[in-house]
Amino acid sequence: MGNSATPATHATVHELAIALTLDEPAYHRAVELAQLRPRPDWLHYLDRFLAAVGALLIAAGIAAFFAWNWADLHHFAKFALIEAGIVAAVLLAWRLSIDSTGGRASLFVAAFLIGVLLAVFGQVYQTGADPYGLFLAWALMILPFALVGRQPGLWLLFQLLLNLTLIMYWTQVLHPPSGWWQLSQLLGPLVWIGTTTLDSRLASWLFALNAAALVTWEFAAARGVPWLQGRTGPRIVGTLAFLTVLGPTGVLSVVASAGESTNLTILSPVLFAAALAACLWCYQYRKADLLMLTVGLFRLILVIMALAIRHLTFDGAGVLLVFALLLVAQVAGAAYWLKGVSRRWQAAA
Amino acid sequence: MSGRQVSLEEVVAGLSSEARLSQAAEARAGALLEHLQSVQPWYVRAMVGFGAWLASLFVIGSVAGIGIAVGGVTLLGIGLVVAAVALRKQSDNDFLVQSALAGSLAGQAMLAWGIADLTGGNEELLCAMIIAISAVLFFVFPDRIHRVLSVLFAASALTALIYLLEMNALVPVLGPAFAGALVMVQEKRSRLIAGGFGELVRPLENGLMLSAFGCLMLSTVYVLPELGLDFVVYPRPWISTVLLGALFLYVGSRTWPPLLEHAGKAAAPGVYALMVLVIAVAWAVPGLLLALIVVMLGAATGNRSFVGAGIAFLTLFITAYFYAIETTMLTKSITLIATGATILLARSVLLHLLSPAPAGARHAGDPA
Repeated sequence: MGNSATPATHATVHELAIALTLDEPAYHRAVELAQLRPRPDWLHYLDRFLAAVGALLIAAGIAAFFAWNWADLHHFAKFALIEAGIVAAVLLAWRLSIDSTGGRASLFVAAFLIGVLLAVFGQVYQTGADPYGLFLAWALMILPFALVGRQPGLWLLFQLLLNLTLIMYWTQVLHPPSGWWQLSQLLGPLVWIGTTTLDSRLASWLFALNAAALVTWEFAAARGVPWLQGRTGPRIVGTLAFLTVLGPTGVLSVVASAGESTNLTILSPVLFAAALAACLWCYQYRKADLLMLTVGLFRLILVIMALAIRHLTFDGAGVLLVFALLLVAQVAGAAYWLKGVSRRWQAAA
Repeated sequence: MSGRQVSLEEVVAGLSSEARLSQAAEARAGALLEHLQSVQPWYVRAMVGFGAWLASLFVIGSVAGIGIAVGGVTLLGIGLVVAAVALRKQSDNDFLVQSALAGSLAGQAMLAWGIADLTGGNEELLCAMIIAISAVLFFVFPDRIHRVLSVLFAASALTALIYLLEMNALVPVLGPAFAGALVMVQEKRSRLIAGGFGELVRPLENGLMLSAFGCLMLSTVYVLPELGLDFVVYPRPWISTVLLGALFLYVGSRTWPPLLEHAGKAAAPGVYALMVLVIAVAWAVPGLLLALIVVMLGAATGNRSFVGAGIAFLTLFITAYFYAIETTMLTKSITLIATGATILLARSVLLHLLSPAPAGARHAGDPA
């Protein structure tokens, strides 16, 4: 049995009631003991719920109002509105304190509105600048917010903007896409951004950018920086780093051969293997994180399956059965190993 | 619903100290606590589930690739469902659980395909068969997710059957009926658990809640007039509002009294007057009432999933409603701002009515 207690939630109390076949009075008593009935401070929750719903509806109404006559507004009015929003959000963050939930949300809104302002500026004056400039300027302009705000959300936005800047600079200045790659733009921005990583050179730069951010984040967290102790940020950045090399590795495994014509090179599988090894070692021995270990193993399974699909090419329905058995073996093995790691951590704790 | 999180161990200890547990029950409680501790985190289970689903599809593809005679699809479907039920009864292993789930769903799809083939495409009969099969599997297949899906399949087939029989006037009744059934199951929860039906309660509740959400979402569907279709997807949404309004008041009558114990005399009438006002405001927007009912049910029982689901549905419903409604952006803007302002006003009134009098409050004549 582990060391931590099981929280008495609605679901676990229900499980308990089923397992013990509690009679009606005992069930009601269990619910009372678990404090699942509304408590005297319920007014506080009602207050927050109604305030949030009311504010959300009014914000949506204001957005709808501007959508109604946005095209007719003079561009100075548009700038004034967005700038007023930025100033109001910053003032609100200052008023609420930047370490409070409301203050953090306000500062994030201000940082986001800066991007909207830059986009409207580009729309009004048609500067002819490459879009990478928008993301770079946006990233640089929110850097003071991120430094002052000390919140993971702003740093994640900053990291995302750096990724977009690099992708845009690569595809618009250094190596503009051609052929089928260009066609992928028709399928929407997300698909297009995904396909840009099918160039091993760009994918490697993106990997380096995100891996560096991850190492910095984990180092700062290990040094005890209080606002970097949450695990969501490094997990997102780590996933981004993995994704940049998983795509080209997977495609290379299934269909293409490494070569100049496809821009897929052996560098991506090499980086993938290095990232996997680092992930399995660091998150097992340096910083216990079962989720990152699971993500790493899952990606390894995907690559092995991609290789199997390419190389197991014998005819007949039997090949699907082989795929199924291979997958079962890998998933079962991964789950077994993860359970062992988890037990080892519990025993050491 | 706040403060320190109570542990299940403390609940067991509390029940035990009050002599509400037999020795055998205490042993079972120990085994349950150990089991809950050893459950893998959600992301490991998600990986295992993904593997199981994909592996099952490979196996099904492999079997289907052999070539099946006419009518064989039906038999294969039945075989898969029976095998999945047997497998699920044998094991609680994550991989086998997910494999059984995937196998059963694939089997049901094959079975439906086979039935449609054998009956010459009789859609009404197919819907009726889906309802019957889902009802049987709800009891037979011992899996929570599968049971929720069975309720959803049956509810979807019932809705489709109503449309096929051109009884669209019944559509506005369906959502409130599912919501009413949900409230009834919640009220009978302790009795159902004591009667040994506890395993069925949560899947039934979740299935009914999702079915009600789905039905109410139909009220936001907007058919382009340019299509020239003589088809009303959701006639008279006010029927749903009236029925859900009655349910809203009923749930309120069960939820509010213990919370109003320390409030003033004007609190109860004030709260019910506000509830009636909300019903009037939601005349054309019945989803608003359903969301509030689900949030109230969740808040009253400490079920955070229900509170979250109610809020998520409220957001989704309002977004879909305002996206689809045939009015100008200006009208939408005015409506949204007016509704938001009304809710903020209602909040102030509610807080004023419900706040307990502070201890040592001044009486008339006390010095200022």
